[in-house]
Amino acid sequence: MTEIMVVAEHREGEIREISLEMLTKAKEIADEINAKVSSVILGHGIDHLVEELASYGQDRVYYLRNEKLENYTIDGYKSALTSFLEDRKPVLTMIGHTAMGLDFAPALAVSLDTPLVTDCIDLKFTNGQLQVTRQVYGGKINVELNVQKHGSYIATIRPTVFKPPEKTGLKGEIEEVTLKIEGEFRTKFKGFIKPEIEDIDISQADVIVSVGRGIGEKENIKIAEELAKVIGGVLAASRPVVDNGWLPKTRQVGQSGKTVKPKLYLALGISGATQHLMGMKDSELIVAVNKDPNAPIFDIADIGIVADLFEVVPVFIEQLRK
Amino acid sequence: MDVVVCVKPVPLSEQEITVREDGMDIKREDLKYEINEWDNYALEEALLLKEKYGGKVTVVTVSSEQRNPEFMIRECYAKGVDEAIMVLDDVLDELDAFAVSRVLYHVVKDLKFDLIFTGVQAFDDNYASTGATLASLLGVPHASIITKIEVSPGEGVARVNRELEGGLEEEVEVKLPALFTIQTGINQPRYASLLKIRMAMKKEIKKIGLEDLGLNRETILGWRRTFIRRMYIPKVKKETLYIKGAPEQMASKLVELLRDKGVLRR
Ligand SMILES: Cc1cc2nc3c(=O)[nH]c(=O)nc-3n(C[C@H](O)[C@H](O)[C@H](O)COP(=O)(O)OP(=O)(O)OC[C@H]3O[C@@H](n4cnc5c(N)ncnc54)[C@H](O)[C@@H]3O)c2cc1C
Ligand SMILES: Nc1ncnc2c1ncn2[C@@H]1O[C@H](COP(=O)(O)O)[C@@H](O)[C@H]1O
Repeated sequence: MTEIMVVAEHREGEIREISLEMLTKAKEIADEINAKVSSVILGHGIDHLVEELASYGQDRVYYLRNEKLENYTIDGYKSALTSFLEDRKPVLTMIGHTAMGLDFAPALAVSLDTPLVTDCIDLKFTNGQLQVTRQVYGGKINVELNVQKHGSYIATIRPTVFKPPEKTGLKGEIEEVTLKIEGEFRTKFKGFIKPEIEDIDISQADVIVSVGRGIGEKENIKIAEELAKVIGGVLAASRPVVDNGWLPKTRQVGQSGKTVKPKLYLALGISGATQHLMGMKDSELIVAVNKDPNAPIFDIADIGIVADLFEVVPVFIEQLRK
Repeated sequence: MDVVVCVKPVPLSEQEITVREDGMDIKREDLKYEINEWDNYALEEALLLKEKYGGKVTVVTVSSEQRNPEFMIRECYAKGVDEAIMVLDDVLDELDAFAVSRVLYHVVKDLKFDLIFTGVQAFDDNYASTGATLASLLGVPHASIITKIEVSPGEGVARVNRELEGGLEEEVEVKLPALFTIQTGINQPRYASLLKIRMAMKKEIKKIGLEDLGLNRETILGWRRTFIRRMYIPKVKKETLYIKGAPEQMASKLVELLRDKGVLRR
């Protein structure tokens, strides 16, 4: 029977949310094309994770167990998944568009000679042909693509787009697959590097004033700093501000920074790229100031101000002082 | 250390981007292009390695005429790049991730390199797959989202940090030659002075046509695996309340709204 395969992701003893999010979409597609949904998880000494994964209601969980898969390496994953997928031949393999997934998915697509589509926010089959939706130009434009007809496809899926399913209580079948992984790896995992101790934990703040590239230069940060002080909040930033060294890394909101859910998130000169939105979209009230009316940040803002931040913010500070 | 850097001209991010009437592309007429942000960091990292270990930095771009890649290349030269290879053909704007990776493969496979750098992703197409695909076609190891590189030329390895999620990173040791996809923030890219850009006008850019690579339009179009159905501006999911007026009016309205919602202390 046709099978959709979800490659589960786990790190430091936890299943990552994306693995479950993909299951939701996989089941939806499976209902339409009459397929079954399976997950595959790679590792060693993770029996408890395999059990946990199996409780999310899919047909089967394959456990590729091997000492060499204890930590993620491109060589280990590529070698194990190539032989496994060659054998199973799923119609669709879903992989997270994450630091891990975007590292091995292209390599897998080349070794299996399978079409690959990355960072999908939606996908469906029409007469056996895969159609996907992706975002381009920093989220300003959506594009729908037909993928060339093929017996199997690989797609990487954008995190946080689909809701994870509830646990079903019913255990799916677990099948352990033993495999040989030969040869020496060209890439070796050496260890994790934890984020530095922070000056401040922005994820604890009720009010966040966040600045993006639109702030222009380091000098101008103090305008936002002053606003943060007057409004009783903390200062945070999008990635370019941190990359430029204008604020420390501990202030970065987003996929590779902090996830925050304050009562008020004030975004100044931030376009709203997906990696930023991932870190703040669940804030209770989002206010965005941006001079581009088409900036994607307005898609999730509760209050929008289309204006030059340098014209609005100083008056805003003045009025708050009153 | 010979380093090849793949650089792509992309529309400046702050421009208004709109979709063509037929929905098959964006309107490109008035767009300005510049080096992809991630590639700019990749280029800087290559120049830093050259300054430390010697060797040569070569940039490669695959571009249509309308992206004005020459301007980008001049800047690369002004910053200290030794050689620039430009594959120029308007058909290149019609390719997808896989086809572009294969064209790049045909250029890079005959070059001498210890390292290849690409950006993590291109701002425009956002595939985040070209680097890893290219490495796989070349048969060299790769690592993605790199925030730190330390090479040990004697041992033939590089130790790199890969950025994961939530501030976590991992250290990986990779055998050379290898390809890395470079993340922003890894360094502070230098600026090219106008004087140096002007001086770079004299430098030769190696222009390559598809036929020089033994390819033709039909072949590379045949490599495509995805085909655009339509492009559109995404529908807004949330109802946004827009505040309009002069700055004073907008500011006072915002204060009022925030007071009503109880998020201001007074
Ligand atoms: C693997 C990976 C991880 C990433 N992780 C993160 C992350 O954790 N956090 C993060 O933020 N990004 C992250 N990014 C980067 C992300 O893709 C975007 O590049 C980034 O979020 C853009 O930041 P920005 O909105 O500040 O800049 P831009 O996209 O350049 O936007 C600047 C905005 O300012 C506006 N503007 C300019 N001047 C003014 C003015 N005077 N007044 C008002 N508005 C003005 C412009 O209209 C524009 O919309 C990551 C990328 C990758 C590939
Ligand atoms: N047409 C191109 N010419 C040169 N390099 C490219 C091209 N397209 C992509 N790249 C490289 O691949 C990286 C990732 O792009 P992408 O996979 O398209 O998101 C870019 O940052 C560039 O380094």
